[in-house]
Amino acid sequence: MFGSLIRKCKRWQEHSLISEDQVQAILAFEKQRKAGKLVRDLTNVAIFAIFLGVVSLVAANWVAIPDDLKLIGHFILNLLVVWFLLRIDQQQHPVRRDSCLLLLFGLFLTFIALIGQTYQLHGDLHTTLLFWLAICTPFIWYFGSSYMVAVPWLAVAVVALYLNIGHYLDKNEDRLVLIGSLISFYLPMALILVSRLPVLKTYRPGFIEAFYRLGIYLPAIFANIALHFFYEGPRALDQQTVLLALMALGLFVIFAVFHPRAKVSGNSPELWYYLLVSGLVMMLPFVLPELESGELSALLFVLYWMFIAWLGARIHAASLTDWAIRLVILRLFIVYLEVFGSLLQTGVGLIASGIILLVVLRYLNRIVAVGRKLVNYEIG
Amino acid sequence: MKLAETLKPLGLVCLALPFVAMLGMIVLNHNNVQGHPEYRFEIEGYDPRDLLKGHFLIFRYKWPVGTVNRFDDSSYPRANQVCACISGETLQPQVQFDSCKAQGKPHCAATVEVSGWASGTGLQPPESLRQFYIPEAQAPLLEKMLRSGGRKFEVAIVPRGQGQAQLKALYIDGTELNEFLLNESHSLSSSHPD
Repeated sequence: MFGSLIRKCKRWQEHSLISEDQVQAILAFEKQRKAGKLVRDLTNVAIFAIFLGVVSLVAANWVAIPDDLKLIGHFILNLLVVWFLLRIDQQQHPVRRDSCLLLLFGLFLTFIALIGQTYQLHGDLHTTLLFWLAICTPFIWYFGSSYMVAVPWLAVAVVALYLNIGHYLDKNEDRLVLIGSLISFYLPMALILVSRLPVLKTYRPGFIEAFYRLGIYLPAIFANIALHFFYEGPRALDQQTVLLALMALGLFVIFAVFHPRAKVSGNSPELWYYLLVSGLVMMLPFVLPELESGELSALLFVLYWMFIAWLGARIHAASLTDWAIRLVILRLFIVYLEVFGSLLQTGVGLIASGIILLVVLRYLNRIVAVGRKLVNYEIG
Repeated sequence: MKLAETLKPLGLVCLALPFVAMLGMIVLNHNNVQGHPEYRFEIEGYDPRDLLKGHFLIFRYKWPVGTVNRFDDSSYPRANQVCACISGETLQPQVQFDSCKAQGKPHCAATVEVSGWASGTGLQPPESLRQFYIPEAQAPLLEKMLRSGGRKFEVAIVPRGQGQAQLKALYIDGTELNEFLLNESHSLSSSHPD
């Protein structure tokens, strides 16, 4: 289980970097940490399995069971989970408490599905998610305090937000792009700022990590979606000026609020660069609304992920650098297919593509290592 | 210390809220289904079949003979939404299509928003009124029966607020679905071995 860590510790001990006592202390610490993680992960798997089981049961057809009995049964099931929740010692068993909360959260979705099935409601997904969030958010926020509870709640909230925007602005594509782009632009920033709220640090410390991590992941996701806009043009909106002005304002907010010299804890040059560059990339398809170019999209993708690799090297996140370089390689391969796909005969093209892919896979690790050296050399 | 021992009134409200909401949803739908007259419409199979909705019986409405269309179909997409005004006897309802703005007259027992072309395949209600959740095991058999046209399939809808309606029941040869399935489950499975 700790094979890699043991090998590393032995190597460090041989080079007199750490003592035998330190090796034992590190291994003991990691063992304890992993043991806790295993319990948490298995609990999550168990809760998820129960949730899926209940969903399957509700979705299955119980033609022989009267509708009223099904509804009463589900109501009692939810009450039982609340009863268990209230009997848990919250200081000694925080994982059990959070598992109960997650189970209750899931059970209310299945309850909504059961009511919809019984009365043939056929509700839309966006309305269902919004209703589910509205009734469950109070108890999730009142009783939940860990990352384990915050992540599913936040994921559902973000999905519900986008589904509702998509539904209500579906008839006006211009307004859909405007509102969708602006929310995508400001949402990550808002999530990071929320994660810094003192009140959250005091009362819901577990939620901070969920908000922060999502705030960090989203700019990269949205930037890559924005780069795909270059495949279709023109993209000029009726409210183009408004969109650009509000995005420019957003960039200014990022520049000022996340500036490394601003006396705010959590600010770092890397976070600042990342948010600024991602914001610029999100803005670019709207700054150049007439430009339609797959090659430009590919080039910007490669440059963006080279930048992410550089950031990974700066913050000593080797795995981030490796994955960014892998993405660059994969994108370059896709460029090859895009550019030459129509010129070569299908058979020759497929054979050549297969050979190139095999070569790339064969030397992937070496290419990544060279890329990492280059990035580190740049920093050095 | 157990959570129950430290539970404050606000916590209790937070826990009670979803239960109250669920009860409200059940009571509202129950009253709606029981408190309004149901209008029955004959249905027919829908082709091409929507493969993604295996749990549902997908159908189209066969509007009753004598259905009046007061709606001008010259423009598409239309500036005005089209509604079906349902009136008359519950077992033999009358339908009249017109602009939704012209609907809501006292003689309409219910109005249902519809879309599509007035000619050809006809105007149909939204998807939520054209699919009925049915037992998983019986879904293929019922769909086959519906499409073959051997039996008379009807759905009952009840009015639910302005321009909306709710599906209440499915009838096969005048018998409610669950009753039909319980009565004829053996003969169904033997006559349709696949």
